[in-house]
Amino acid sequence: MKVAYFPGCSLHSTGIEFDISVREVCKAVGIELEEIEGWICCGATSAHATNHLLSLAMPAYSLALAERMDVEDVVAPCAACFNRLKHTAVLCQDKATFEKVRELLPIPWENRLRIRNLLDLFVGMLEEIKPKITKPLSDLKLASYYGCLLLRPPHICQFDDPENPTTMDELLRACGAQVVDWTHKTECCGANLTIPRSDLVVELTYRILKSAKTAGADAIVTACPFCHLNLDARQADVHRVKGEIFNIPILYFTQVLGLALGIPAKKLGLRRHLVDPFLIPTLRRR
Amino acid sequence: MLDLVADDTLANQIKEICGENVKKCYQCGKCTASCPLAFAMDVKPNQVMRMAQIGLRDVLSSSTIWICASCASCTARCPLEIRISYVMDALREIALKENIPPKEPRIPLFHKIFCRWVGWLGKLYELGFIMEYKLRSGQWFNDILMGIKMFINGKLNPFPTTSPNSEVVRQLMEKTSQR
Ligand code: SF4
Ligand code: SF4
Repeated sequence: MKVAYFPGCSLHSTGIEFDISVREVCKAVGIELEEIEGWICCGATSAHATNHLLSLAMPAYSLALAERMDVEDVVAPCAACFNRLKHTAVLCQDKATFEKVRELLPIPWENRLRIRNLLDLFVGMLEEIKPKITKPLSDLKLASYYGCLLLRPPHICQFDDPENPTTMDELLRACGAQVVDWTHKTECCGANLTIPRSDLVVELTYRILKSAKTAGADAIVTACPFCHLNLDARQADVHRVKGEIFNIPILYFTQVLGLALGIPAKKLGLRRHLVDPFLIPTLRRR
Repeated sequence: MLDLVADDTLANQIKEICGENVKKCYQCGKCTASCPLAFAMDVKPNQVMRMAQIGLRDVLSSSTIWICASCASCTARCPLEIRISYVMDALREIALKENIPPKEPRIPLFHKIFCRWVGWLGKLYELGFIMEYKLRSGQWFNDILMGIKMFINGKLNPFPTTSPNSEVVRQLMEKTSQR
């Protein structure tokens, strides 16, 4: 299966281990990723927070480039990019909005591609993936953390139950792991407030870490580079401000799947996290 | 006598930008109850809705419109299906256009510098963007330790990644800002 790949800006930098593990895992399960040539930033929060039309036009341009490829689906692993691409595709189903956006673009655009996130794609092919799971992570207890942008707003994302999603749980269970029941699977981490108002992000991430720890999770699994940054890199600040040490590793779901597929840990970028995943004995042997 | 006639201008501006009708809100408070950041806001989301309904333009200088993280919990739960997070976006857009001094100046500064870097390179060069933000916001020293650790772990790319189509981004920015 060939899909157009929209990595997004984070996956070249702060989320580099997401990109590395996405590419490894897709290779292993038979998804061919072809990067959209010449793609531009989706605009992220800063575009939609300041200019509505621009926030639709930026993703539309990259989608128009993808329409020149021989594909039906565009895959954006980053939850934020997925959210912006899908906003564009869904809101432009309205004819007037579509015309407004199309007028701005220098190249033709029909808005005909499907926007997918990887979780959705993997769970759709779970029966094919299951036989390839050779190294199940049976003694691992994981908290599946969906955050905001994969799920909300529901009229855009059209993915899973926004109040109690289970797609990632299903994937993690297929990897052999135990999935804990916890309270914060869809709570917000504060996203880009992490730079201008890190104090607020420390408060929100503290609550999430605390809930995962109380539920007995060894690690938190995420699908978003913002969430990853806030939960992983801000743990030191949470310690400083709240006086509580968590040391909970934060993993991307692609890393967990990769490990279960038998891909060595060093090929999945696990060493790049700030909270060392090898604190978990099971992972040390991988 | 106190003039109690509501002014529709703001409600109409919001509708024009994002299509949402703030007049539908019946003040159930569910948005505020769902909001993870309500504790840090000076005007709570349901109050924002009321102010927008009756045209109290003070809402444009609230901290709320900048602190809102666009998590859309409110939008997912509003019984009237008002997309409150889009209303927040529209209020920010209006506040910027009307040059209303923001109560949380660092947040719009963050967005402005973000957009400028993306306009230059077509993609976000995180390290360059963060350095400029730190310099201009005066928050130079926080996060230095975190930054160093991320750099060592290879999570802050020292080199900018660029798109050959950065010109398109600039054109889109230009065209959409004229409206
Ligand atoms: S949830 Fe909807 S109806 Fe209720 S107060 Fe908020 S905006 Fe108004
Ligand atoms: S989108 Fe903004 S106002 Fe709505 S719940 Fe999230 S932070 Fe609160």
